[in-house]
Amino acid sequence: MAKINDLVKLILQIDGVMNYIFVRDDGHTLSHNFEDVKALASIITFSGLNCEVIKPIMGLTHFKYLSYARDNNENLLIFPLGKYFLGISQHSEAYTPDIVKKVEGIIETITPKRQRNNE
Amino acid sequence: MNKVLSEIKSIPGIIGGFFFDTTQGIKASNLPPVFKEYNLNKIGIVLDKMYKMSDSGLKDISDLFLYYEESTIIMRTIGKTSSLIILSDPSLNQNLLTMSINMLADELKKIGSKFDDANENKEEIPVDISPSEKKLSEEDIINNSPMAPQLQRMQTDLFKILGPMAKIIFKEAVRDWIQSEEPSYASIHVLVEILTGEINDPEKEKKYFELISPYIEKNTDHY
Repeated sequence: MAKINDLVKLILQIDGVMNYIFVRDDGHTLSHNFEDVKALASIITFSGLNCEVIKPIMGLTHFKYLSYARDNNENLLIFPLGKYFLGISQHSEAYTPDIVKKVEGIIETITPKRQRNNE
Repeated sequence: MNKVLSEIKSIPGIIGGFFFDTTQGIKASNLPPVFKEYNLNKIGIVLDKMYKMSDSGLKDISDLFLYYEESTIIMRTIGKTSSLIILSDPSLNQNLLTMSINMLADELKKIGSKFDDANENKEEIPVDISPSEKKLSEEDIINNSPMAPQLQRMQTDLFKILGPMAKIIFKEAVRDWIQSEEPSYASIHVLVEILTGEINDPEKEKKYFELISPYIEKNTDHY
């Protein structure tokens, strides 16, 4: 839990991050700052797990992240973290690749590679 | 549909794409043949489930971008049950692609409506797979391929061994061959193995092999 709190602090420091949510791969929410996460937690878990399903079908090795591009530009980004998923909602003016680069940098420093890849 | 796919493929970094409908399956694709229709269908089903699940909670989703180490998968829904799915290099710029797809919005809307209308009327849209995806039939291979003279000779020689059943057996053997191998002189030994298996008589197998060896070996020498 201490690690998640550290991670949350760093994630919230990134410019353009509006909200975040941490969910376990069974749909249980560990931490968030959204108003309502009931549906969101299921969406994130379901999406994250299905991105893993696609890997062997296409012969792909590592799922990096998923982006739900939205009409209002408040894109929802989902990152895998071993048995967890991190969901981030970005500000409409934010540039997605910048956020992704910073989030990936934080994930890399805070978690061992083995855990990130769920190997 | 192929015109739209060609325009998308012209964007640097795009590998290709396909149109998928949950009722009609894959109706057009310009992806390299290594991407089998069966697997693309599975991808279409998974992405459709993801879109429907997320749309129930988020409402205003335009595109899905799935980033993997080796490539990126992009999905845009174009009708009630249909979508455009694109594969690209991982380095592709999301904004550039979104902009390019938006420029084709009118054409995509028309294609989506075509799927919706066809599904409503329970009609099937003709398959529009690119030429590289089309597989030749066993008859095309026997009669019209560059290997046709040798294959027809093999069929004639099989007639000498098996009689009138030879034509049917040969056709079936070629069908099995092209399902498991790319038909070429490099893989013709597989066809010979299938045929000798069908003859199933060591004496006759030997005789057939003696008949076909001169012209088969001549063509496979350089492989």
